[in-house]
Amino acid sequence: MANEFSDECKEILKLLGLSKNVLISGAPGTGKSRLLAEVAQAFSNGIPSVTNAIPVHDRAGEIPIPAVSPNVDPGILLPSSGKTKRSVFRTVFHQNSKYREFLSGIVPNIKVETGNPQQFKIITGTLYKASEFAKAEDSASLLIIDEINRGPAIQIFGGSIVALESDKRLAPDGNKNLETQYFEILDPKTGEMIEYALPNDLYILAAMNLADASVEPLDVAFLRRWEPFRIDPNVKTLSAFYKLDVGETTPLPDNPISKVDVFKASAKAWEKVNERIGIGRGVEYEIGHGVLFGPVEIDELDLEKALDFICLGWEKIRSHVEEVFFGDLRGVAATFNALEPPTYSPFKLEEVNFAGELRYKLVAPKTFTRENIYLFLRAILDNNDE
Amino acid sequence: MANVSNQITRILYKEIREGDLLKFKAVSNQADTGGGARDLRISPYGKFLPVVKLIFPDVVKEKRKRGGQQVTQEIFKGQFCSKASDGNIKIEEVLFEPPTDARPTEGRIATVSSYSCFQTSLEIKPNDKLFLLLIQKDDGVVWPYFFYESSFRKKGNWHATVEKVLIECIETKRAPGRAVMGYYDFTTQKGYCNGK
Repeated sequence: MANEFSDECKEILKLLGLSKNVLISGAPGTGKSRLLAEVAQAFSNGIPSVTNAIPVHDRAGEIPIPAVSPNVDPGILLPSSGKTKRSVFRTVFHQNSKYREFLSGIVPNIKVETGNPQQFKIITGTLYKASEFAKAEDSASLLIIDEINRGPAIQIFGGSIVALESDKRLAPDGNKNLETQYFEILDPKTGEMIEYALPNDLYILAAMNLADASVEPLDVAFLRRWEPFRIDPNVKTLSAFYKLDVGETTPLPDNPISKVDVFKASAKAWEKVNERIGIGRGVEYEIGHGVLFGPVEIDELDLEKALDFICLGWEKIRSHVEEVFFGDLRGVAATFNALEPPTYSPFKLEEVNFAGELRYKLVAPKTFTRENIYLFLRAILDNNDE
Repeated sequence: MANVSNQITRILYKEIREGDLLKFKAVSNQADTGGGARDLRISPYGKFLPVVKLIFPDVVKEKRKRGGQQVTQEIFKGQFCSKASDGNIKIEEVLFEPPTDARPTEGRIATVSSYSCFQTSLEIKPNDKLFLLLIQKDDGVVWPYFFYESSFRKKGNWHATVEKVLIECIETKRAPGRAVMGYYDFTTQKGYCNGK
């Protein structure tokens, strides 16, 4: 197999080369983390060769990770392509992430040695390390920040926020530009406060979910320092995984005749669910196609196994919908077309009396099974009001 | 799209010796008290722990006997795939146990004989080491394989990085009697080999 990077990966490499900082956003399950890993591989590998061609699993062959032929993809615009020493640094932001873990700072010295009675020491963080690496001769670095909005990003970046943009960096030769922006950090070498600027060959790639329970809002001033790259739920990607003919429009039968009916129902119902989430809660709460992926070869599944397989993904979609419409049972029911469902639907919203008041109860199976999943999917699509 | 690309994220390899083969075939000595005689040992645990957590990403709490007492212990769990004789893909949840008090530096893939993904007809040969190779794909699933050293040494057979990593680790100096073991992570391009 040739060294094939996805179009998204190539686009991000191009954006990094232009703007230095790229922020990937998208719903859960759209492949953000995978894309980060792919860009990291492309960045650190530099020019593809036999050794660094992406290894792939060949299940049918004699060798599960066979040798590949070198194939330099002319479509790849590699940032700092002339630099031969390339490294990728990674971090994940969370609610307890600190500035000192990103730039530098003081922490207690828990390994106090005899004759060295210091109670504190200076640590260096991921941004500092990536920056120092990129400042060395013939070097470039890529800093990957996953879940950038799970932590207090503005606090974590601190003063470095003013120095992020490409025109605020040091010149390619490491000297100061007219527009180079400095910020203060605690120098890990001397313990003194020093002025610091970020190098030309440092690239930052971050990813975030647009909406989730534990994410923090990001300032507009922070966001404008990043080149946005949005990944949306993609039915073509899901159809390709299911090996469906995208142009095929035959109506679904009452009961599945083949696995194609099962996958067609799954893809169409997933689109419909996302459409309803978009209306009821906002497009940023949609669920990505990746949630329906899994470790199977579609060709090798028969009808029953196909039904079993999609149950796994739909359990996740059900949890997601229940979470985004938490406290709004009618929202859950509307998403699954259970307000006025067709008679065969396993989901139905019922009105019940509780303490003299009208309440709602969603009557639904505890789990999806091969017996109920297809009816559930058909019912989602069977809505005359839309 | 990447999720269906079959790309490989990391490999873990271990030389399989006669005693290990008996474990796979469930004919090794098995103490009444358990004791892990049919567990495949991975050591040093601390060196392998980062990659173990990726290959066995789920954590379950199980009761175990430690120092004569029942304790609740965190066990790692991963999804392993293999092709059954009827051609179907079999998915199994394989457990990785952390060290015991008696063997504090060894983690263990537990009761290997109970998983069909670890079944092999290969035998130990003189001058040609047998390896268990765990291949993790980008969807997180792990595929175990058995191969001889000679396969890795055959030019143009394996992906160049796999060939390089395996051969370099085989040729690294280590204490006599110590099995070759290591891993390589393609996403970070870092690895570990248990030699010096």
